[in-house]
Formats: sequence, C-alpha cells, structure tokens
Amino acid sequence: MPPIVNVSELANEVADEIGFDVSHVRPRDQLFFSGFDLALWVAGTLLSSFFIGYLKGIQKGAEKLGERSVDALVERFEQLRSRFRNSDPLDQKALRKDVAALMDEMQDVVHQVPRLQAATAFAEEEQEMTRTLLELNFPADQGRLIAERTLGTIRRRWRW
Amino acid sequence: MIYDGDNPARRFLTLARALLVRNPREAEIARQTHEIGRGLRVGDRDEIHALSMRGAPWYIVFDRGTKYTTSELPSGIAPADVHEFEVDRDSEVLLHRLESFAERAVAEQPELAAELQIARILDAVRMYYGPAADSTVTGAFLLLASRAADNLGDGPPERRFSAWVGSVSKVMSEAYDSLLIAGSTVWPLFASITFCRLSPDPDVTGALPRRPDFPKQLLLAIARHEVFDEESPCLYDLDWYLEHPLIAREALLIARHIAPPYLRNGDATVAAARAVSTFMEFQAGLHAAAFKFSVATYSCDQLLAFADSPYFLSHPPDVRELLQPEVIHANRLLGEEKRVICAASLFSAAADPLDFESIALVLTWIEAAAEVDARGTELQIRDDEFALRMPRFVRDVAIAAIELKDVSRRQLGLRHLWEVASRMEPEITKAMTLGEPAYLLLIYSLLQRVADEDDDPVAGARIAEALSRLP
Repeated sequence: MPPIVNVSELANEVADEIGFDVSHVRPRDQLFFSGFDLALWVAGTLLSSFFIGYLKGIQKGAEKLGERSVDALVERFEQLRSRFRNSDPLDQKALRKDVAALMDEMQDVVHQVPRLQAATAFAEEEQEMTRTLLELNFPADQGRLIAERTLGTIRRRWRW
Repeated sequence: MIYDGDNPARRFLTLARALLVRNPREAEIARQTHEIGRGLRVGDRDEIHALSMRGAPWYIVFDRGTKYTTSELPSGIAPADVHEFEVDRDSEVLLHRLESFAERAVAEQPELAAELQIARILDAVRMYYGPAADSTVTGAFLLLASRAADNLGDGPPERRFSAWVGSVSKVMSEAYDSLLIAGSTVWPLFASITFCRLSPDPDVTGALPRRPDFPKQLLLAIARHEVFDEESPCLYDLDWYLEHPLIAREALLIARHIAPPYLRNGDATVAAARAVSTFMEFQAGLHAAAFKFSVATYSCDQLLAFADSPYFLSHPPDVRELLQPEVIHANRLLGEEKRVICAASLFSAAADPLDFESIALVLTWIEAAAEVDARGTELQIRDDEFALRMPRFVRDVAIAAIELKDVSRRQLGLRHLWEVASRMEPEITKAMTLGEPAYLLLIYSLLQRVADEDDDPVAGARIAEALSRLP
C-alpha cells in the first residue's frame, strides 16, 4: 500500500515543528543561521530513525504477525540515516542538495515498508528518534519532547 | 480600498519597532552594516568571507550561503582578507526617516496617528539620540518606576517589595510593548525582577542591607521621595545580587534559572507570531519575543562575567561548582541567535518594506522562479518563513501558487488556498485598518484564475459568494 503522504511533505511538516529548536545542532561557539535546510536535515534524519524503530518493532513481533523479514529494509534506512549524518550541516548549499537526494531515495524505500492496519505503536520508534536527537546535540528533555511530537505527526499523516 | 502600500503610519510603526527592539543607536549601526554586506553581495558567492567592524571583537562570516557572527576568525580566512569597515556612530538616518513618516502620518491620517500614539513614540525614540541620551533615558526610566510605585499600598517596606516588583514589571512591559522605551534599557531590569521573583523569599532579597561599595544601582525610585527613602526596597543590576556576600550560594542557584523560562517563553511567542494573519501583529510578536531572548542572554552574560571575577574565584569549590558555565554559555548562544533572527526580521521589514509585503513582487518572483526550479523556490520560501522574514500565511499562499502550476499538485494547491482564505477572512476588518496588503483578494484572484482555466462554474460561484462577504 503506498504511503498517504510523500516523504518530503512529511519532512517539511516535521521540520516546521522543530522550528527554533534546530539551534541545538549548531556549533557551540557560533551564532548560526542556516534555517530551514538545517531543520529539514534534522527531520530527514529523524524520519530514517522512525522507520528503523518501526521496522524493528515489527521485527520483534514478526513471528506473531507471520510477516516477512524486514532486515534488508532496516539496513537501507540505517544507510540513509548515516548518509544524512555524514552531510555537512555547515555547508548550506551542499546540505540542500544532499537532503533533496536523500529524501527522494527515502521515498522509494518507504514504498516498500509494510503498513500495519492496527494502531500499533512500538517503543522502538520513539527510542530511535530520541537517541538520534541526543546524538545531534539536543538536550535530553528537548529531544524527548521533539521525538514525541514528531511521532504524533507521523502517526497522523502516515500510519493511521 | 484594502491595500495601501505606502501607508505612513504603518511604515512608522515598522521602523519604530526596528529602532527600539534593542536601541536606536545600535539600529543605526546595523543599517550601515547591512548596507555594506549588501554592497559586497557576499551572500551570493561560494567562498568564505568575513567582515569586521573596526574595533569590534567579532566577525560577520558569510560561509557558502550561511551567515553567522563569531569571535574567532574561521581557519579558512587569513586575517589580511578580512574586510574591515567603519561606521558612523552619530548617524541619524533612521531617525530622520522616522520623523518623515510621522509627519506624513499626522498630516494624512490624523486619527490613526493619534490612536497609535505616534507623537509619543517619536519622542521616546528621540531620547536615545544626542549627547544627553543616557541621562534622558534614565530620567524617563525613573518616571516609569515612580508610576509603578502608585500600586504599592500600605504596610512595612519589606512587605511592599513583592507588590512593587510586580508593578515595575507591568509598567515596564507596557512601555516596551507600546514602543515608549528601548529593549536595552529594560532587559537588565527584567533580569533583576526575575531574580527577585525566583528568590524563595523575595522580601528578604528586597530587604538586603545596602553596601556602599556596590554602586551598580540600576534603579532606585528616587522620583517619589514620599514613598521611597533610603530604606525603601529597590532593584539592582544582577551582578549586585551575585556579589552580595549574604546570598552567594542562593544567588548563583537562582540566577542560573533566569534564562531557561525566558527562552521557552520567547519560543512560544515566536510560534504564536508565525501563526497570525497580519504583518503588524507578526512584527509585534517578534518585537516581544526579541525582548524575552534578550533578557535570557543578558542574564547569561552577567553570570559568565561573574565567573571570571576574582570575587567568584575566591568562593569555596562547592559554591563555584554551582555555576555550570558550559550550560550558561549554551543558553547565551541560543538566546542571542534567536534574538538576532527576530531583530533581523524587524530590521529587514523596515529597510525593505516591499520585499514580502508587495503582492505584485511576491507573485512575480514566484512565477518566474518556479518556472526554473519549483522545488528550490518552495524551499527558499520555507526558509524565508523559517527565518521569520514573513508570517506563515504568506508562505502558505506562495507555496499554493507553486502547487497550482503543477498539474499533479493542483488540487492540493486549491485546498491550501481555501484553508488560508478561511483563516484570514475573520481578520479582514483588522487587516484593513492596519493597511495590510490585500492577500485575501490575491487568494481569491488565484482561485478565480484556476476556476476560469478549468471552466468550473461551481468554484466560480463559491469565489463570488466569498467575495460578496468582504466589506
């Protein structure tokens, strides 16, 4: 089943919600003004983490669900996430190009992700996103809040 | 008539906000820096560039599309390549511009000018120019403080302290919001007010014995001798409390907690400003948010300066550990970054009022740019909104205009336009009073164009019905 919204639109919405909190990823010794591209980069990284958590959640219950293995998909999202992380947040021009290409790739992979009919929430989704935000320099309390908010947005727009 | 692109009262308010968000003198310097950066067109290039104002301990760096300020010169730039510039510190260009808007507003829109208190605001801005600026500002400041004293009530002086602090806070907030005083004049006061409010026993803070060797008195309401005498409560600059030996440990613990609520509150104010449906409210929101970020930054600056003082270093280690300078430094940067974004938006609106407010310019730009690169144009618009250069409704209209050009996203664009229209329609009377650009008409004309192209009589009737509701 195709996703209800495309990845770019979902990422735009998440980036919008991150708002000024994106400042946490800037270098500690600089005032930093790269704006929406940086937020979109965080959003893309977060979405990769969401799908990794989601697939791990499915994987955990695979036997019960009788579903196919999702190892390969997890691996693809992990690759995407690490490529997001390897982009240089200080180079706005390159960042915009990298993020656009990675979003397109993610769109292809998202098409292959099985969508569950039931409103199942996996603890792994929020854990993965919170961990990612911590790695990106967000303070723990802020990271948890953003992960929770983002999860709500994704569930509303993609899951159910 | 809905849109008046050259509404002097409106332009007066926009410029006054830009001047008073920090203070008019610094706004005059910022204007010159902005013009120098524009002249060099450094933001468009691929390389790294740095500008430095002669004598200033910081650099403005343009790095592959990103602009930031830093005290450390980036390693990719040789000191000899830094573009050093000088500014005229006595410039009054913006004051003269403000005076001319005021003159026109009073002549052309006398009732609106009176309602908006244009004459009072102009007087307030003028206080900040001229050699006597400091004493004039202090005088006005004390007058406002004396007004706060009217709410003191009876009772022993210590007991009146909390009431007085609350009253000072109210009067000063109103003065800042009404553009009667500049941000840099009041934010030190709010750091002190918050310090006293966070104190477990504000009355004790207010009754601290004065020491003649701490002369950094910020505010003593001497204007009302009948209420205030030497024993009356007063507020001092934050470092006075930090240096007070009676409350060394408590002062550190309390002062550390001033910035976080201001940062959170500032974020919430920005979020609310992004969602409004008029430019004037948007700018008022950014003006309010910049103030909150400034208080946060100021309190962090005071703590960081205190951390370097010999007095602090003489404290026992367990007290020194309470400071956590790395957390304070991070909060300072967050606050300053956000303040600058708000202030830059206000300044840009005053310098180039037609950049985003002109319907014709916005649409012409979108139509042309989206032909070449629709995705890039959309990202650019999102970035402009994110950097608070326009309120969200303008972004939504602009993106919808791009969506309408793409057959596969046309329905989405239509839906987005109707959504924005339904949000704006209840605000139309307010928008007209403020001389806002006629975005609602623009939305209906875009919808009409699509209805004509699709030969859709149902949509046409819906638009006609919506237009008939407009005043």
